[in-house]
This record gives sequence, structure tokens and C-alpha cells, in this order.
Amino acid sequence: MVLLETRHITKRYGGFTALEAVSLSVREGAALALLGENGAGKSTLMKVCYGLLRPDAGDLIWRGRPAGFSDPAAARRAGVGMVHQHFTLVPAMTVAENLALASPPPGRLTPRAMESAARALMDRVGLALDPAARVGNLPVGLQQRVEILKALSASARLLILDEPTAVLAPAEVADLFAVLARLRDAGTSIILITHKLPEALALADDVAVLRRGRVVLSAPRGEVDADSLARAMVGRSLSAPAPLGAVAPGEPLLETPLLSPSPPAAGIVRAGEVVGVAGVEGNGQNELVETMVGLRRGGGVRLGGEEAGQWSVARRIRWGLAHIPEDRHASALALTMTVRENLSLTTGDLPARGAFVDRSAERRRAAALMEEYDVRAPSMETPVGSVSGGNQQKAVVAREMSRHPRLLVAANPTRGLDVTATEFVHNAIRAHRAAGGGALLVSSELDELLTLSDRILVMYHGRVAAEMAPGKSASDRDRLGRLMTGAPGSERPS
Amino acid sequence: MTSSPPFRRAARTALLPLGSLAGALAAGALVIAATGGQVGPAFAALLGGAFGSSYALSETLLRAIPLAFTGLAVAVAFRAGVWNIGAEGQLLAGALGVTALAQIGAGWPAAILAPACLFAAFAAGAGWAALAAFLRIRRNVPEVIATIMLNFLALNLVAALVHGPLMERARTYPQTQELPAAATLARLIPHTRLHAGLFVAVAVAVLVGVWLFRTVGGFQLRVVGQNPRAAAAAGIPVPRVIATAFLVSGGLAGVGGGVELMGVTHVLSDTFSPGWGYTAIAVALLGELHPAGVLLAALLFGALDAGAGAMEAQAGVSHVVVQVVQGVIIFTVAIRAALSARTARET
Repeated sequence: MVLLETRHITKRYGGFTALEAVSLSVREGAALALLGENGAGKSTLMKVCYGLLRPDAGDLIWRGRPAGFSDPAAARRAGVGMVHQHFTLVPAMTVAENLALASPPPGRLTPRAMESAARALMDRVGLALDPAARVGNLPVGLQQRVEILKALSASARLLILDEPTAVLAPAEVADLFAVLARLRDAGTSIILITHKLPEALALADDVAVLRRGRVVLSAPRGEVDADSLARAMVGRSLSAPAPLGAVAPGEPLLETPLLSPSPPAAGIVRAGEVVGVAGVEGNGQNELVETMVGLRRGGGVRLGGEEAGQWSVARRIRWGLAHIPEDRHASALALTMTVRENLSLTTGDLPARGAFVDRSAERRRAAALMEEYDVRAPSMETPVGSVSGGNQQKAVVAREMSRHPRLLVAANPTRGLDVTATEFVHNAIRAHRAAGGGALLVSSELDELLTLSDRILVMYHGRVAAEMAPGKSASDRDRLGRLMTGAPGSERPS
Repeated sequence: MTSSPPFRRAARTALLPLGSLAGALAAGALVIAATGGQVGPAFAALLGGAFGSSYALSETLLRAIPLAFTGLAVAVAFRAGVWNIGAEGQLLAGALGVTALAQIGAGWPAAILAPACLFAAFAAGAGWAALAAFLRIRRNVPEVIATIMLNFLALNLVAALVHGPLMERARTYPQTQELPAAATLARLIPHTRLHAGLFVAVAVAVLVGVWLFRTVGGFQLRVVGQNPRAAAAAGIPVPRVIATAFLVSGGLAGVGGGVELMGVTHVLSDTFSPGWGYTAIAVALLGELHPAGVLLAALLFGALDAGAGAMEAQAGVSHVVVQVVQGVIIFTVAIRAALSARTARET
């Protein structure tokens, strides 16, 4: 029995077609994995299903009847719950209070009433949490459960999850999938939006792939495999990542006890070496990166053999440091300024004659960088905020790599990027290494670390807890995943 | 790689300010009609009072001058993400600076004293803004609060001074002694009050435009205003840029006060400014924080101000209607700013 069906849904923005006659259906008590690269239309489609957007053409069929939800409240009333990628919780309030915000229990809102309503919901759904716990004190994985409970509080029959694993540690991902499987078996339908193939294959009963706003594949789980899904997503076969070429490690570029599992001995990043830093988000990676690039001062950092702890960001850039930050919107781009201006944001990059900007040299430089790094935008005068995420990241990579830096500090450089853009960034890092550059690669993607790093450091609770050599076997992944959650047995490199 | 023609871009940019002006005039017309006035004659008188004669035009320009300076001051600050609400206080500080220097340099020739007074106005305005800059950069005090507080401080400082040590020698009115002639600005047209400050305003607007859009410093200022974190990560010295924006902004507002004192009133009192420093925020936003736009917006507000008296005298419609029009403009500008902030967050 089909619960939700989209019939020929089309959505256009100006001349751009975000969705082109998309027809999909979700069965009752089944999980549909919706795959696709960034910008493929997954989020747009889900916004249509959740009443956040109206389609230009096509129908939404809910339990056999046409139902264009006018707003999210209407969708919730009908029985659609959504867990957004970014949580919408009040950290200072308790679990029960957050749930009461989503759907207030009848009568007076006493703590007792809210807690008993929360307990009733948890029993019904089969998810246990302490109703009196402050949400801000919960680990991310449990906060996500609060979101799931919120989505299910109005007796939802359909749960939509938008990239739910982006913020989770591997162990938490396994827990989430166990919860989702249980919900599905209890009769709740699930739409899982993801761009990670293993996740789709692990949970889904049906799989659909969107590419450029069209459904390019829609099949039961049993008829697809990782290869066919990857081909459908990208539109071509993906080459397996080449192994890292041998580069003889050169002189030490970065030395700091912060990168050592056994301080005060210094951890070292050498020329021609990529040192990976693994860890669940919030274990000190941000602070580490900020200390390396100079946004925080101090901490015994040596660059090229010189004590650099007090060096300003500008001085480190002049020395040869490049930085690809984790959140390009927050830390790398001025979104309302043009692509051209963003390509010369870094101090010293803006072509100038004395105090005056050399506009024609700036244009030539921007055009050359856009060509070399394949930054696609209607024009270099387009505000960088209105080009796609992948092209924004390419612009950041172009700007940082164009200086031919000695040391690259990159934090989750492929976050939110599709397969093609990810490949591009990875190749840029490989090229940097092959040219004798050093890199510190902080990432929460295990595969990224395992394929790109010469060595991997694992951060836990604010410090480097372990070091391991990368390997491709399942046991290597398991070991890395265990180390990230602080499991004992952190080993020194042999 | 083609860029859209500059003309089309300018037309797009001008569309919203013009729309908000049209809406404001419509609201004014409604108020006039609702209070029993005749819209046609009232607007005719308003227009005549603003542009109808060379005298009317001179008054429009005259009233636009202080708004041009304070509008530029606010535009520079806002471009840097510095929410300087203190142009009013900085303007008064500038006028005080001129008063002080005119006393010291009473015997100097005009060719030296007048320019020196303009620099004193800039320095005093910048100094007043420096207090807020220090609090923001060193102590993390929100500049909105600091600059508003400094406005009251400046106003009451001026009041205390003109009732006390700086009161005119005749001791009749709470105002300063008239400036020496060498410290005043030349009148441009006989029988009008229009003075050479007009040229100073246009020249300063051009300088600000070149600085913001053609120099490395202006580029860094705009980056800091758009995204201070990205600026810091790119090695731009953010505190220094913010301090510069504060000082230039305060200095420009100070010159506005100095020019008004030297060109029009020649004496300083505690009723010196009708709120130019506050109207400046609307002028800057309506002008899209662009120097050329700021000049046009200042001209519009100057015209409304100049026409209001004529409308009241000739059509019997209270000048308060003009305040309604100005209020609606400020309102639409504010809504627009809030909306674009929201769009920026959502993309």
C-alpha cells in the first residue's frame, strides 16, 4: 500500500529546473533511500513533500488522495515528520520541554505533565531518553533522537531524515540505523536522504536516485548494488582512488606537541606528507586548526623550524600556510561579494599598485584561477553566495592552492560536496603532496582519511589520543572507529 | 565572462529606493487627504518649496549638506559591519572641535584657519568615535550601545559648555560666541545661505567612493563587514580595519557638524542638530551604503525638509506630513534591510 506518491512533480527557479516530472512513491512500513549528489534536487523534493515549497506542476498523493500541503503544519497534521540536517532544539531546555514545544500536551504545561507526555511518546516509539536531561548536555547522537521524537510526536506515519549521519560518529550511526529499522518494522515509513551509498544499502527497502532534478533510477533494494547506484548518481563510472604515490618525506614543516600522542615530544608534519586527523566532531579539532593557522595564538607551534606560536595569520600565510576551513560560509567566503573578490580575499593576493587595486590584473587573475580550478559561475562578477556549494569550495581551493603553499591545513574540505567535487578536492590535495607540500587533513570521513593520509592521528577529548597507519581493510576502519570513540588500546606507531 | 552592463545593475539597485519613495509619498498623500487637505496643491507647494526657485533649490542643497556627511559616516561604518549609531554625538564633537580651534586660532588668516577647522572637526569626531572603538575592540562592548550613550554624553557636554564656560560674551543666549569670519565658509550665491561646504561634501563623497571600491584598504573594510571570520582567516587585520572604520566614520560625522557650524549657524548651541546623526542612518540605507546613493538620499531628505515649510505656509498642510513621509521611507528601508539579512541567512 502506497503512503506517499509524487506524480510528475516539477519545480523551476527562473530558468533553472530543480525538479523535472519526478514520480516516486513510498510504501507503508518501508524505507526509501533517496540518493543523489548535491544539487540533484533531493532537498527540493523533500521540501515539497513537507509543505515548505509548492511545486509548479504535478501532484502529491497522500494515502490515495491528492494533498498539496500548504505549510509544514499541514504536513505534520497529516502525519509527515521531518528531521532536518541542522537541529532545531533549544539547548537550555530539557528533553521533555523540547518535545512539548513541538506538540504541547493537553492541559497545563507543568514539568510533570510534560515529562509524562514525553515518557508516553518514548514508550510508543520505543526510544528511551531521560526526559529531565538538558538537551545541551546530551551527545549529538542523543540530540538527534530528540529530533526524531519531535518529528514522531504528532503520530507521524512518515519520517523524513535529511542527511542524518553527517554529524554522527560511526558508533552513533549504527545506533541510529537500529532505531530506524525498528521504527520501520513497527509500521512507520521512512525517507532517508543521503549521498552515502553504504547507508542507503544498509537500511532501504527501495532506492531512488536523483540526478539534475530527474529520477534516473528507482528500484527495490535487491536489484541494485553500490556500483550501479554510484553510476546512476554521477552519470559515469567512478575510478577507484589511486593509491598515494611514494614521496620521500622532506624537512619538517610543522612541529607541535599538540599533534603528538605523547607530549611534550613534538608531532611533526613533513614536506610531502599528509597527516590525517580523525575524530568525532567537537573533540578539539576546531581548536587545533585555529591554533595551527593563527586564529588562536600560542601553544608551541613551530613552522619551518621557527617558533611561530605568536605569529599572526598574515605572517603564517606569508610563510606558506594555506587554510581550507571546515565551514566555508562562516570562515572562508564573503557571500555577498563577487567570485572575483573572493578569489583575492587573502591578504597579499589582491593585485595592487600602491594602495590602489589593480582591477585589470585582478580580473586576469580571477579568470585564470576559474579556468584552472574549474570554478563554474555565470560570471566572475556573480556573488559567490549564489553559485553552488561545490563551486564555492573550488573557489576556496583555488585561492588557497594558487599560492603554492608549503603547508595546507584542511578541515573537512569535502563536507557537503558531491562525488565529483569531492574527487576534485582530493586530487588537489594529492597534487599538493606530490609537489612536495605538507598537509594536515582534519576530517570526520573515514574513507577520506584512509585514502589520503600517510599517517592518521585520532583526537579524543581535546588531545591526540592515538596514531595509526592507514589501511584499507575492514579491521582498519573498525579500529579507527573504536579509537574515535575513546576506546582503550590506543597504540603507538611501530 | 561577461558582466552585466553597469547601467542595468545601477537601475536594479535604484529600483527599491525609488519604490520606497513612491510608497512614502503615497502614504503622505493619504494622510493629507484623511486630514482634509488637498493633495495636489500640498504636493505642488512641497515641490515648489524644494525646487521651485533658485532660493528653494539653495535651501534644499543646504539642508542636504549635513545629511550627506553623516550619511557617508554611517555608510562607511555599516560597510565595515560597525553599527555606529553615534553620528549625532560625533557631529557635535566635530562642532566643538571647530569652536575650540577657532578660539585658539582667532587671529589666523582664513586660508589657514578654515581648513584647519575642518581638520579639527574631523579629529574631534574621530576622537569621539575612538571611545566606542576602544570599548568594542578591547572590551567587546557592543558599539550600538556605546555610541548611543556617547550621543547623550556629547549633547549634554555641549549644553553644559554653552550654558557655562563657552557661553557668548554678551551672556544672553546659551550659545557660543560667533565664529571669527576667517573660520566661516564662503557663501556661494548672494541672498542665499548656500555655502562652500557643498563642494566639500561632494569631494568627500568621491574620496570615500575611491577608498571603498578602488583601494586595498577599502576592499579589506568591505570583507570585514561581510564576514569578519573569513577576513581574520585570510590574514586581514580585523581589529585595525574596524578601528579605521570607526575613526573615519566619526571623523566624517564630525566634519558634518563642523561644516554646518562654519557655513550656517556660526554659533554652537544645544539645539544645534535636529537629529542629523539619526536621520543619517536612513540616508545611508536608502543610498544603499554607496557614496553616490548617499548624496542622492541626502538631497531627497533635504528637499523634503526645505519643502515642508512652503507646504505648511501655502497649502495649510502641516509640515508633520513630511515627517510621515520620512518615517515611511525609514520603515520600508528597515524592512528591506531585515528581509535581505534573512535571505542572506537562508542561502
